[in-house]
Amino acid sequence: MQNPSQPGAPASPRQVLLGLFIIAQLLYMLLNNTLGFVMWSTSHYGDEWGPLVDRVAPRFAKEQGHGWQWCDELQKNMRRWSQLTLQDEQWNLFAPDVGKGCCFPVVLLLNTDPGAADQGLPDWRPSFDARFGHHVNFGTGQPMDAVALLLSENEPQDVGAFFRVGNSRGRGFENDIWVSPLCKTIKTPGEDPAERLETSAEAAARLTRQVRNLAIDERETSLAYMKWRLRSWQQAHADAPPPTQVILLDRFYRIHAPDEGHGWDGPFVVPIMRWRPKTDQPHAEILLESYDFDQHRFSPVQP
Amino acid sequence: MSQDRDQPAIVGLSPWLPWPLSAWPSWTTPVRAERLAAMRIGLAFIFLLDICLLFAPDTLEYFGKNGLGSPTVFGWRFQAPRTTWSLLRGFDDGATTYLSLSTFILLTCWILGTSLMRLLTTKLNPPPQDRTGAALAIWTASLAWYVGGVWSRMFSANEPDDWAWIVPLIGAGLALLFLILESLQRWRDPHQRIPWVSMILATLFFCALAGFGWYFAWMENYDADAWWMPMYRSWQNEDSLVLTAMGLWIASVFLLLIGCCTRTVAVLTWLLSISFDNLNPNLENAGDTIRVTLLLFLMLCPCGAAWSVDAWWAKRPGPVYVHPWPIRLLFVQLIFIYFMNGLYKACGTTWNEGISLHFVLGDLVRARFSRAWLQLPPWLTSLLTWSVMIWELAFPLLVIWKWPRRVALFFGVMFHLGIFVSLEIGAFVPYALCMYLPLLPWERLRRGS
Repeated sequence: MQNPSQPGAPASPRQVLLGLFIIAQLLYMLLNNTLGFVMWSTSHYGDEWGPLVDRVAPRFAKEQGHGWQWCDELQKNMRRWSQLTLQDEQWNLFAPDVGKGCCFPVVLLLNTDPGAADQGLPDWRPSFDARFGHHVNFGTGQPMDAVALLLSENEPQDVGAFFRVGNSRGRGFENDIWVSPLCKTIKTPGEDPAERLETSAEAAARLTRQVRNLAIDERETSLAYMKWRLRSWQQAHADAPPPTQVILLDRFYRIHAPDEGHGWDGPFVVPIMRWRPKTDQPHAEILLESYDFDQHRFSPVQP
Repeated sequence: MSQDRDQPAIVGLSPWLPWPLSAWPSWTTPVRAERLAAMRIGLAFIFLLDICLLFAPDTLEYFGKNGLGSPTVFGWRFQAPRTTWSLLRGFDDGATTYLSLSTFILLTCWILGTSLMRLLTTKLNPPPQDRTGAALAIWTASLAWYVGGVWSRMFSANEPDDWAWIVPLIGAGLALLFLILESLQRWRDPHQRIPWVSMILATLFFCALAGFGWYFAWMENYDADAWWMPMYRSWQNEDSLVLTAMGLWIASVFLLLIGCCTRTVAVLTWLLSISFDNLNPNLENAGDTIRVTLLLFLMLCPCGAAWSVDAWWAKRPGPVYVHPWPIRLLFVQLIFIYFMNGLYKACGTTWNEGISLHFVLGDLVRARFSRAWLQLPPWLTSLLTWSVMIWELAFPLLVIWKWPRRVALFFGVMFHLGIFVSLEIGAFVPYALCMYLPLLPWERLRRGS
């Protein structure tokens, strides 16, 4: 067997460099995965395991002390390598838990006077259910004063009969924007009998806070999505006047638990945020408004 | 390199490995090149379909100036101290400017260091001469990009800089210094080969850039509408540049598939993959992470040594072998993927209760078809849920022995095929299955072997 390397000769700089890369890659996989898991589990299960962990590694469970700080620094440095090479060594697909609901974004276009709409949205009937929280009831169709209700292309028209191929990229974009905070709060009936269900006021305060954070954290992606849907609609309806309000809604379905039989509850519609498009408005000055579930109106969110 | 007829040949660089890897036959015994070739072909084929079907039709919607991945949407990802980068953000982007400067400094040290070392150890059993010219090519490209970054700030501020020519002139001077060091080595060792053409070209290139720099320094102001100005802004703002990059991406993946100029196109594919992926990370899933990791290894190993245009051109008569490190690294990666997933699942409630698969199959966002069409009984979904978690947790142990390893890998293939049938999550499954390709004995397909 022929080998280009000369027997007896020392390793060349390239051979050493390649060897170092292999070692570094092995260490990176080991450390990034292990540290990621240790830090994650400490954050999530600190209450249960904290005293035991703190005996072995002082103040680690409190996310303080030398051990935690060193791990944190190491993680930060490895994150730079992850970002440089786009290797995300955080393997927790469908874990630690899977969602018990699923959500789709909806864009509602309105032509009503935004000023009047501040006092509530006509034809919207807010509801509250201790299991499902706050949502809006449109009745059987779209609101009467809506220009258009643009459902997600990914939402099956009939949840009982659909087959899906393609468009996974667009679906991924929608799925990454905002939906999980609301989905995670859905309760399965009888899931935890000892747990007290939220009152309407508590749920309203929580959802208002969540949606507000969402409007801050996902401002750019949400705005890009609303603009994209609006642009697509305007291209298809060139003669229609531009809408005065673009409202992002969330339609979520609760998946039945195994003992409930197959099926879904929903869709429940939750208002998320509003954008009032104006011509020639600089991007930085665009104001998003998040929904206030207590006042049942949109309120401005400062970026 | 000439070979005797039917004499096996080992292609690629043998890495220096410390103990215990150096004493471990799995890491040191060469394997048939067809294994890497199969992975290259499989990955490139899936990737080509992925780009053509899922990216290219919506290129401007996903990556254009007004699209879902416009510069304002994910601009925060490119801010310091992050090292996220994308060539498509143009010369003006701070991350690529500093990365190119860092690459330039490191490679200057590398070229100077290796040249001096060779010069000083000519008579002392020096290491084998295994230079490929890649360092000089990357050095040239990184400095050229850095010059572009410096000039783009000058153009955007519309303030001519009297010293705009100095950086390229330093580049020309360094290229000349490399040439002098090479000539000295030749003087000490007559067998030394000097890459005259590439070194002279690099010198001339930077001399020309210095000339342009001198011209820019003496201009009074810059015409913002000049045809070349868009090159110095974010390339995302020009639809034609985004579409050109997409075309280049498709071409590079196709060339990777057929194995033409394999090493170069593997690097280009990796650069473009990261450039596009970073512009709009919301389009990505775990399959894309696997794809980029595979590309990283492919561009560092001789994946075109078999079943490629390059191999046909090289006309090696005997069987071709490669060093096994990329396959072993990928296998370690596979172990981490499964084991870590299993570990996180073991911490979750739904997996321990055996109800995860029930909810996954009922997820209207990801399900390929309506759950109403295939109503699996709860005991079966529970059994499948637990078996997946146990298999993932036990994977590192199972792969130690031959037969359990085969069973574990077979279960893995079935697991991925099951995901493919039940969930529509793009190319995740095909990319994951690409990691299994080098584990198969593809060399048996070769006639007479």
